[in-house]
Amino acid sequence: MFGLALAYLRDRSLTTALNVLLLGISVAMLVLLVQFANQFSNRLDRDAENVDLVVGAKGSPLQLILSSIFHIDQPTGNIPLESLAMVRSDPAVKEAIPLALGDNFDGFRIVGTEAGYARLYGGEIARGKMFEKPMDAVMGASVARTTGAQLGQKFIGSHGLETAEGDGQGHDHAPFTTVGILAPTGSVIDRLILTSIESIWDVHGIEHDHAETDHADHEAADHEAEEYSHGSGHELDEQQHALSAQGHLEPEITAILLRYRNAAGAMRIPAMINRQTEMQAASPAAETARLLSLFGAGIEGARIFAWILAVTGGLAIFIALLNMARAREGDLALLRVMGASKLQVFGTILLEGLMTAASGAILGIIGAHLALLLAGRNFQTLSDLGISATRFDPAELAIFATVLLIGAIAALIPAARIFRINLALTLARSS
Amino acid sequence: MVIKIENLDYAIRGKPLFEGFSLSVEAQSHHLLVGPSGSGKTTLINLVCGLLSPDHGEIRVAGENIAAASESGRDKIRRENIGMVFQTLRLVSALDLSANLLLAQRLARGSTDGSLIHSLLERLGIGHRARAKPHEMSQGEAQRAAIARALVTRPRLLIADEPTSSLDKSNARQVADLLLECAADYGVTLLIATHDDRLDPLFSNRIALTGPVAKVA
Repeated sequence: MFGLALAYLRDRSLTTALNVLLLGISVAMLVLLVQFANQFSNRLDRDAENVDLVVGAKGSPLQLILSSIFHIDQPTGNIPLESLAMVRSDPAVKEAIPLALGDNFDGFRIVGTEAGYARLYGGEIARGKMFEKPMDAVMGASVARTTGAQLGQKFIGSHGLETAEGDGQGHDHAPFTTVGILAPTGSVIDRLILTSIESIWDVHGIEHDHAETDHADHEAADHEAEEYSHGSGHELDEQQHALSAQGHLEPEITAILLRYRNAAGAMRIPAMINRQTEMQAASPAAETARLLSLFGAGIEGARIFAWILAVTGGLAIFIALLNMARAREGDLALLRVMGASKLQVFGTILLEGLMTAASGAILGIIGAHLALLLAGRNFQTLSDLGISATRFDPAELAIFATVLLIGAIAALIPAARIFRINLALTLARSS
Repeated sequence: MVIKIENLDYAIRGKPLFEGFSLSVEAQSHHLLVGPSGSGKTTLINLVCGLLSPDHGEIRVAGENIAAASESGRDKIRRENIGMVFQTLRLVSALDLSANLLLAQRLARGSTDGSLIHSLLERLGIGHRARAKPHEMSQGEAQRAAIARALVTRPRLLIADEPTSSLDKSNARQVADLLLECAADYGVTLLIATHDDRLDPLFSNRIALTGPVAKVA
């Protein structure tokens, strides 16, 4: 009966192909939405899970989170180094990790920070060691894989956070040395190059004391009440070039990632920073939720549209099978005369619906993963977000099963006609 | 007896077609079922094949009472004992000739016999059309293909309903000859319902249905 169902589908190949295509498009849309929404959401959650608060220059809180947590946007500006000491002096702060952004290597961001930053994401050294001296650099797993970096190799960072920005603006005077490569974590640090804050200052010609961040820590109380004013510049580099002309190059950082010691910190610290300083504090959880809700409405709309398409595909199967059952009533009667039971003939028509639906679903799932693969290769943002084409989402199985159900329901009424066929009458009409 | 009908009553919309009708057909005999339109030829065939249920009476096919059998029982008696040839409904349209015959064997016997299919197609002169779809065949080829489909399950009884009505004189004669020859070759009882006078000289056994009420054959 499987062979017969297949023969009937082949016999009206154009209709079958169109129905498969219609279902395939809807399934591909659904799978893409599921993959994008889930992978994106998981990635955001994973990247933000160990950071309670981000402190940075005034501006859009979402931009601050995107630039400092997910590394997919420009920073809002810089804040003075003293702010790190101020934050660390607060008893409700368990951990404060500084970030200094502004340069890239081959499109991968170079992040001036401390070793604690890698620990936030469970980053462990796979080869070599963690950075210790200025100009030591540790590559994230994806960076090492893509660039083919080896331990001991030197490289030169470029201005800006993306490749295009840095064209022709390399810091030739201050090359980095790869001293370590991190094991893959499935988080944002896979795509980053980590170095010390001092390295970033050295690259940009900013004078500073050795172990300045520690020094700032000790003098925290003295700087607590200071207020800072910043221009609209987005990177250390731009501001420091401007200041350089005046002969003033104060060490700065881009943002601070905070972890609270207790719940009281969550109540007090953001309010204190937002009201009493020229900096802003943004909660990754709140901004991520806001971002997902913005995406969510669009994704939900597209999801509804895709299901409407899938139901339309089911209707197309229904119409095709109903027409087939009407046009081939003689065929079905002949099958009965040849000895096929009603259930066998019913099963053949049902099988046609299921095979069409299954073909559409398989086509859609394969098509969606191919589309993700192609998109990932052509759009850097997708790979930056960690969207993978090879990851199979359990929801795809649910989509497959639902589309099969649509195919079965669409075939049910045409197939049920076999129970109403009057064999003697049909044979008499056909003869 | 391959067919034994006793005291058959059958009415269509209250009008009796058969009343106390009885008939016996011996194994391996060849019969022509004749009569004017509306005399009940096709109805009688449908009753014998279990496609219709009599109002009263017994219809035995190869010893089994098909009239009293359940629907699945009728399906079983039909697929194990009866091959049917119709005027225009010959093959399953989506399958080629060879696939039609394989399907018929699988449905009737649960297995296939490629050598029987091959010999039958050669015997009927359509061996070269094994891969042809029904719509690619001429009328004569298609009717011979229908005979092959009916015989490929090795039935005891071959029933043909107006097998030559849509054929020209030459093809009609060829199909009738083939039916007779194959029935003899394969030891099959043959019953042909027709109003085609061209077949009269070929058959010595005739069952004549004369009117709206056939009492005795």
